[in-house]
Amino acid sequence: MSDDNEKKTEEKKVAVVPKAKPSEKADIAAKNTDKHKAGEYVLREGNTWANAWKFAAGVGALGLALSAAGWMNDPRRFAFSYLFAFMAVLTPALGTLFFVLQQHLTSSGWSVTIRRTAELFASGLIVFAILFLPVWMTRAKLFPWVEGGEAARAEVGHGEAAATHTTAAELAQPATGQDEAPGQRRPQHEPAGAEMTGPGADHAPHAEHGPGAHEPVLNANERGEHGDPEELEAEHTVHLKRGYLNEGFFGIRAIVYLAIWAWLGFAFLGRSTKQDTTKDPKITVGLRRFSCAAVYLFGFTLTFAAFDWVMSLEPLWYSTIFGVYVFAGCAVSAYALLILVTMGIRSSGVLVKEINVEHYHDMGKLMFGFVVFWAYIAFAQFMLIWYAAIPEEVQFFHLRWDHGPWATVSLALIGLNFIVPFFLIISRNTKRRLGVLAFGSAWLFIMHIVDVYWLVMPNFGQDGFNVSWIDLVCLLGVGGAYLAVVLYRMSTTPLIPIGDPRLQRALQFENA
Amino acid sequence: MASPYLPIREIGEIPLVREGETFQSITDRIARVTEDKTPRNWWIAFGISLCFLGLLGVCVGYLLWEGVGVWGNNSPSYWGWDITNFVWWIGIGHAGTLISAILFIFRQKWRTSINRFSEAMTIFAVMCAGLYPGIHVGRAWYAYYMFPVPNQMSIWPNFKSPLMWDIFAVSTYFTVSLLFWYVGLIPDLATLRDRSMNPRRQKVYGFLALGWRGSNRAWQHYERAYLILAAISTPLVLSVHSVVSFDFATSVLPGWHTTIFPPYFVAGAVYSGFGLVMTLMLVARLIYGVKSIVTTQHLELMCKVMLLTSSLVGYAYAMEFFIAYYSGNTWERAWAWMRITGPYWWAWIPMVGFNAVLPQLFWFKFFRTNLAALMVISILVNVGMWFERFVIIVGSTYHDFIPGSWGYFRPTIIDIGTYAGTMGLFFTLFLLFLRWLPMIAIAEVKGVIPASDPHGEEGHEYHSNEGGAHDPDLEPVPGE
Repeated sequence: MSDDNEKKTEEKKVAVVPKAKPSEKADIAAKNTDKHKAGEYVLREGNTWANAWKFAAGVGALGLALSAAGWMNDPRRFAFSYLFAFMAVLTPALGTLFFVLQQHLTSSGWSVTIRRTAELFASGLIVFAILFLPVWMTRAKLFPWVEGGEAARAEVGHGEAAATHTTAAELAQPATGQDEAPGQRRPQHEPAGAEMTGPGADHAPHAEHGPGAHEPVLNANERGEHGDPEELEAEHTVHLKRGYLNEGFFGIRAIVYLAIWAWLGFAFLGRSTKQDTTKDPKITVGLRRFSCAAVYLFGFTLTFAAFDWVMSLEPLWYSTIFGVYVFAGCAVSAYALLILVTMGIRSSGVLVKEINVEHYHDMGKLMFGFVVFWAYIAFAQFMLIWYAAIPEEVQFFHLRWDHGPWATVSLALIGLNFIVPFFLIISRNTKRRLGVLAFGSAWLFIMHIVDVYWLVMPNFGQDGFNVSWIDLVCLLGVGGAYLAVVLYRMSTTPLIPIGDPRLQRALQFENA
Repeated sequence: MASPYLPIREIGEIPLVREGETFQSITDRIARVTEDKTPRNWWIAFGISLCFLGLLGVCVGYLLWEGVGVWGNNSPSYWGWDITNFVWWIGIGHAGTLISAILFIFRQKWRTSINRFSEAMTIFAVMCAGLYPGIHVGRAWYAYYMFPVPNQMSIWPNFKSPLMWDIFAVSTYFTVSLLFWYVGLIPDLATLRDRSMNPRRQKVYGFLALGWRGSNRAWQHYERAYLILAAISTPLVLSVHSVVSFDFATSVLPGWHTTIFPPYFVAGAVYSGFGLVMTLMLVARLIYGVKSIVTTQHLELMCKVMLLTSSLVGYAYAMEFFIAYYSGNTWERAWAWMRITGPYWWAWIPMVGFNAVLPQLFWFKFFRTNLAALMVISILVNVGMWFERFVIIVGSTYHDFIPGSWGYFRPTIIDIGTYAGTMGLFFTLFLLFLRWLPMIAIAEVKGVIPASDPHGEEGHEYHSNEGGAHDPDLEPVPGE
């Protein structure tokens, strides 16, 4: 059958029959009950996935233990590596919550069989409430706006060779215009240049933090010595933000975000598993309504979390679209994650029919859409900042461009997180060839981690660019801990929402 | 067992087209509008529209004779109502492509009842918008300067300028929208041709229908073309208004330069487009008796799209104001404060009130189904969106960086006349469309009625007209 015929058939299928007979009005969900027993969709004892949580827990424990060692060894590196790992795992987790919201908001039928996997991953969001603690404890090392952060700086200043600070200081300079090469900039910034070459441990740390080094924490003497007008200006600007950027409010906000996410994750999974047993269609109606309110909570918490935990790493930098940028990454990585995980579960012989090529085709379409969305948002942010070249804004890209390796990562994001996947998954063929789709998803998931690395790590500053073992162990630790909780719950919950009134639609779904 | 595509009433699903409609009744209902004698009210409306069109001619003629000085544009606001209206009209055009392309790709079958109508609106709105840059250049005989044509000194337009990109974006958008609209019209034009008894009509519609015979092969090509055009139009929905937003956001002006502008403008555009589709559809439903095809459910769904886009616009407002504070930048903070307390506070209130606050009423089913409320809100939506463009354009330029050059923009009578005139242009074209072309996609709507359901064998009895007395809109939905 040609595509066109298929398409017409499908179009007609979706057409509706006007009125159910009184007898047909009998609970449609009840029919599902006869066919789908809960036990059928719970992972059996011997299944690899039933025990996967143990493996994840092991990796997580090992990773966290090694991360602790990293903390002892190099606290500042740990702070950044851990924040990177935290954000890299948190974003796909939030993306799965968005997937659940999206399906309820749009009353989707096709996705019902995939939704449970997303619900399980979203319910794991509670883990981040605990995993956030190291970020809170290392805040003074991460965020230049934290008052009293100089303690952290002194600490760093000890271990580092003075030579490394040249590059760091170079990075630390605020950009003055897009067309200037870094070398040309120096003479215009005498004071900063002086600081760069000047000896003494107390100079170096300022450079450590990238542009954020302009801190309101210098004592009066130091001010007198340096008298750097730019630094004073920056200091004053950060002072103006104190109403938002202060530790108490930062902590309260974090609690609010984490509590809301944990609650939403639980609420959706809880209601949905309740429907597994009660088969009550009213739950579907209720969740649709709840998702309307939830999407507002989701949008604002995600945005402000992105501002707090990533954007404020450079306290002078701002971009109104930044929350949307982080959201785009959440969505792409969540689709990639869901595709990979459901394919993994299928390989153990479960859900083979329930999630089939038709569903993956649609997942692929949506993932493709969000890849383009990410590129659109990233382009909007970059192009507008580049074009206007306002110093506070453009420093973000200077930090990721002036230093060779970071420029490579920046280019890699364009090429490997947009151009290559764009052509890889644009075709109907590749979306329906599960091996290729899995490859594309894995590719995008890895590139998402690179994207988060690119957001967080340039602010570490030292040496411009270096990859540390601490990055890896933190990622394994955070990822393992999160997956352990999710997979444990997965081993005890039916893998599809067997009580959903739209289940039949997903089971019989055929793509156009 | 029943087809899984039956509406599940337990969770509030109802059929898309009111029960009782058949292939025959749908064709009749829609085609008759173009065949019956022209109603008197149409002539009245057309007459009024023509008067306004004449006003446009007078205003533009005077402008060309006298120069741009007849408008209120002056230092420091060199952009005034002209660009405000340009952006407003372009924005209105976005609903058509969104409905025909994006909702098509998302398999939203309800679009079939409103897509033709809003695609036509798109084309006419873009025509109104396209007028402004041409006359804004002052010496209209140099309007070709906007195009990438070197002048006599071999100087090319600046390709780094967003104004240049605008030309490409808008002209591509117009071309693709027109093609999309026309391709969709072909089967329906053939229907009009086949129904016609009048040889002249037969010839004209026959010519326009491009020899459509309705064969299986023709349909296959048609569907393939439709899908490709939808795929091409989808990025256009985003790109056009993004490029329009670049006109502002690439500058360094506080209030213009902010990174969220592209998606924010797109959301606003779709929002205002749906506002006007709603306004016009409410009128058309009453006059042309298509209530059974454009049901309350369609109106509700449109409300939900408006609620979504309004919330996105609200999010963008919130981000702008938050970042204005967070930036710690004196100028950023100043414009935000001046928006609320400055001399243009009266424009800011309707902007936020009508765009971000008022549509929140659509949370409630009462407002989504109350036609009077819908009429009022949908008109206010476009009032609000007009004020948004005005606030962005004039509200950011009247206070520039040098306090000595601050000014206050006042529109002239010619500004107002030109704006009213473009409405005349729009409604003239729109009324002609209603009169001569099928306002609802006949072939597509037929695809969503029960009789075209190949799984319908278990419910044959419902394909007849007998269900006509039953009105699903009045049936209480469980759990509501």
